[in-house]
Amino acid sequence: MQPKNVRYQLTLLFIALLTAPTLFAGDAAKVLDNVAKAMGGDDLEDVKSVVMTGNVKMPQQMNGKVEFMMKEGGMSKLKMNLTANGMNMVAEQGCNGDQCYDSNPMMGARLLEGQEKEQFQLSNDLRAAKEWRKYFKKVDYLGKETLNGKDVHKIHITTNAGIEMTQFVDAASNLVLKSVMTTQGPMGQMKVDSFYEDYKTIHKSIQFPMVTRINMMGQEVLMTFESFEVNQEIPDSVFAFPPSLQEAAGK
Amino acid sequence: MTQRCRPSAASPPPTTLPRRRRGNALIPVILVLFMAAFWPSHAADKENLASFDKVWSTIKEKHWNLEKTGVDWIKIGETYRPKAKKTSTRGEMRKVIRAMISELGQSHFNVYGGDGFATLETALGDFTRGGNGTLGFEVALVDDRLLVTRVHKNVLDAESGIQIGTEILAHSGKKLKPVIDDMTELYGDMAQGRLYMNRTLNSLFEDSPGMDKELTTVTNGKEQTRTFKMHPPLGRPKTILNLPTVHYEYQSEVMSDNIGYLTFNIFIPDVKTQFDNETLPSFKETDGMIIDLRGNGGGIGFIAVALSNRILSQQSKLGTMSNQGGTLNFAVFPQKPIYDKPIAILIDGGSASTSEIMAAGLQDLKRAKVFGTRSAGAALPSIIETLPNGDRFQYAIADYTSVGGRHVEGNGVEPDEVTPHTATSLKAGKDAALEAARQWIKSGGQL
Repeated sequence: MQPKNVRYQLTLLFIALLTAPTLFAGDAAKVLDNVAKAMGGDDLEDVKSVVMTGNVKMPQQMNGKVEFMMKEGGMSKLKMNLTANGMNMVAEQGCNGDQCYDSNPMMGARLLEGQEKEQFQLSNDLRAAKEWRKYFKKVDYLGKETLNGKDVHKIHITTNAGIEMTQFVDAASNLVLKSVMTTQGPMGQMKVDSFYEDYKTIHKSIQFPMVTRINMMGQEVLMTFESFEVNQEIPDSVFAFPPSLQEAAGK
Repeated sequence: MTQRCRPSAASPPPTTLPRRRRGNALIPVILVLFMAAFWPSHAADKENLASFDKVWSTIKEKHWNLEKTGVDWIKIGETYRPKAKKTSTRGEMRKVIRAMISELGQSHFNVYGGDGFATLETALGDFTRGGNGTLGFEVALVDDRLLVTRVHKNVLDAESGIQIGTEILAHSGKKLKPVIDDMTELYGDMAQGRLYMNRTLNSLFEDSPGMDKELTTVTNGKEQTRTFKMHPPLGRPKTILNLPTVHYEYQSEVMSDNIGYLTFNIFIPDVKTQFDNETLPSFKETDGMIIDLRGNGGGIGFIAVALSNRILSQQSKLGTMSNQGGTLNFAVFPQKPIYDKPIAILIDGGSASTSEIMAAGLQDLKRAKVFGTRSAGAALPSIIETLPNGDRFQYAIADYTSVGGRHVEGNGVEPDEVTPHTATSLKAGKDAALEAARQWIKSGGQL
């Protein structure tokens, strides 16, 4: 079978979250600064926490509920409750501000390291769109082209972690419409195309794509967020590592 | 209980013959193997040339990494198309297409004449109309004879006259040798041919439950003809994802010599659950474990990883799958408790897909010794398409290399110790692979 690795898909979801609010020197820097403004600008400083819920559709008719929580201090957690004919699975990834993990009943639990961990940590920074210089080692403006009838700026980015990605930024709205990323980690190297749609205001002027389509190794994952809550109180305990992982990690 | 050369019960792997609708789509699928009833023996030139173009363009579009082969596929097309234009028969066209494919240097691409498939399909129709019922035994071609290699005792009792080593001569009043000869000729040099052979042979004895089947058999030198009733399929029906229902069997037991024996017929999440909750606790004090993957056609790939993370103590990977979208590692992250005793894996030509991923990976990592016969060489799905001229084109859409860098596609996993069934060993009720594995574990299981 084609391997349907939930961990990859979780990673992709995070990548989607990562790439939506974070972007792109010279002309590239201008574009990235414009993206930061379009994503919320100074209003991003006002975000202390976010809770998002929605649905995810995966290949093989595997569907599920997705809950994502982020909090200042580098804490985050993504939990997916996946169901399909004959299969139920709860999979999650998270960070406690220091370490990040991945856990699901089939593959067990493990700490994320290297590029995987840095991807995840980057996604935790609520102000990453505004503070993109902190994360991106190199940015290049590749030119303008058309994407689905819209003029887009094409920006190539190399992150501190070595992730190579290309962003397609709507020249009119300055929102990211697509990213093409090559990810590298223990699970392999693969090209991931993500498409961001249906941007909505979630708090003050902050924009977020409600729909993300992710194409990877010939498979598509569709993630749709339905609800957002900003700055609700979330106890730190929510981001604690699961006991099984602590044991696996030798803690 | 089941009597088999292996000591436990598990039903045959789900056949992938579409006409029986028992296939597991997660394992390599034989898409159109038995679809056609009639194919023209001489195709028009136009259809032949369209077939050439179809093969060339399919490889161009679907090969996972043409660049890495070092072959200039555009130039190859320009070289061979004029030759294709000059052909006038399907046979000539096949030679040209095969020559073109051979430029890739990869074993998993081929084109086959459609006539052989049609002939076999017709012949199979004399024995079965397809169904999920079973007669309660499995067969294999051993020393050119169709012999029973496994008996399900809850279907066939001692009075049935069927036992391990029984030879099947005729079925429904017709001798089996001609159809077996057809299979041997068709599958002999085909990639994954061992898998097709295994499944097609056993499909001869599948039909709708409740039907009567007359078999002529020879047991201990005594020939007899008897009627048997088709039994409902064995195992628990399971529907996984969007796949057809499969009948799942899982059995683990500690044998008399304190060696754990585990077998299951498909890699699904239940295997992981039972392995963690039943097998590992009961095998805790054993001297070693035998994982019998013979006849196991595969299933969900990451289940092999999920099992391996309980038997490998260091982070590793079983292998890597590559397609146009990138590379996917079958990465193993050890999870306690770890089973650290010797492990033997049994494979045969019916072991495919996830079975091969697991066997090849653990073999390369020096975590298991592999016994039996070479596996199917079908680690990933391959596709067989009907060409415009009626011939069949088999191609892979991805590549799989074990952690040691072996290409499993088309090649299979070669056992460390080749231990095939023989007519003599079966007659004695012995399983050469199992016996060798037990002996290895008893002697310390050193690799």
